[in-house]
Amino acid sequence: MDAVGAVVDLLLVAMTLSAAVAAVVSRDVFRGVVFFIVFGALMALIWLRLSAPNVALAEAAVGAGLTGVLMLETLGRIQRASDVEPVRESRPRPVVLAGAALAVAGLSALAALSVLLVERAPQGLAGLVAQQEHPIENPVTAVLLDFRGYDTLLEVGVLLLAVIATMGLYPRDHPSPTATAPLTRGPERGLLLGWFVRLLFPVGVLVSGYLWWQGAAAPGGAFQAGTVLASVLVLMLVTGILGLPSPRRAATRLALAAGLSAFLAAALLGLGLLGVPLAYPPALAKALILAVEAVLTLSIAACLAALVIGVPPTPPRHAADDGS
Amino acid sequence: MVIDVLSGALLVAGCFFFLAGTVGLLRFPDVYCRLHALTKADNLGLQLVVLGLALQADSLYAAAKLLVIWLLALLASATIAHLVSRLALREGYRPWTR
Repeated sequence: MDAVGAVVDLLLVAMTLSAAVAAVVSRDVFRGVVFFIVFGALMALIWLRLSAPNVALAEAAVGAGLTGVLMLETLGRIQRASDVEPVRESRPRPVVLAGAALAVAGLSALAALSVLLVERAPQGLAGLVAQQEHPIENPVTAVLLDFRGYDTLLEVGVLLLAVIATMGLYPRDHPSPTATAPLTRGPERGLLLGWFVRLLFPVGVLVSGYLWWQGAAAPGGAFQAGTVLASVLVLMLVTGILGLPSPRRAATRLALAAGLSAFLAAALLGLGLLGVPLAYPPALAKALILAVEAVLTLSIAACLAALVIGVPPTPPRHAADDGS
Repeated sequence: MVIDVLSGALLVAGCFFFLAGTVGLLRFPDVYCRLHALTKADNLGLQLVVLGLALQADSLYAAAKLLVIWLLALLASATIAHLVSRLALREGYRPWTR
């Protein structure tokens, strides 16, 4: 490891740790959120230094981008709303604090030890994947969508479950409009933001499509493309350019569930053609993977946007019948 | 060799603008001055860094991609600076005068 690389790594580690500590320790919540966004951006740089550009792309979009939007919008809403109870600061007992600090320190030490003591495989999985001569050259996409397709299938299922759970949340007593309304701001008074977001939409679609297509041979893929598209969708939903989709409409449900359905269809196709689920016939492998990834991109974008904005929940039936 | 030296000089110049922008962010008296410093960093600093990297790029295509990134960052920083300063004005922050 050369000297410049070592200096860069040390600087990155120091900056990331300070950003993380500042995010947790700040009394001002806004400062904490800003430092959390900075932490996400620095984590993306760390992933790059670890030669994981696919993860860095996803981390930059989700950790620094979407999570930042969610927290800033929520914070602004809490500060502006008058019907939200302020959170009372609770100080846990010193014994509890000491126990938690000890547990965290112990776990961190364990993690550091395991990283230092385990022998590093020189290539990771990339060498094994290269031996298989898969039509998809990017080893990460090949592993995610083909060799370990089950894991990705279940991950997409978990994402859909999270969206369904979010849609089902509704306060039982005295629902405040602030808590249940989705995170939209409505159109700005001026012209600039609307113009800018309208300009970003085709650019975002282009970048997303580029990442999807490049995922076969270079860093990219369905998740990265989906997160970029989700960011553009979130911008359009927050500024009111795109109307909020209601979960009762079939189009919304189709957009959310299409990715998982396409992946399941590909799995069943493998079962029918080759007797093993998620096995792709070699001649069709690249086309099938790209097609599934395309639907996954749209679906991941819809799910992430729904998670950040909060699809408007429908009140449970008995509340409506109360006549209240 | 010449390209390496030129590229290095452009990168150092870009880093100087980023440093100036950071110092401005920390030291300037009010939000409008700080935005002024930050947009210089985004604009000139990023442009010089991108030019320095484009000289080292493998192909014209990769250099063009870097330039597109710079254009998008330029648009975003200009829009955000405008929005932040408009909000500050609306909230009542008076510009600093001596």
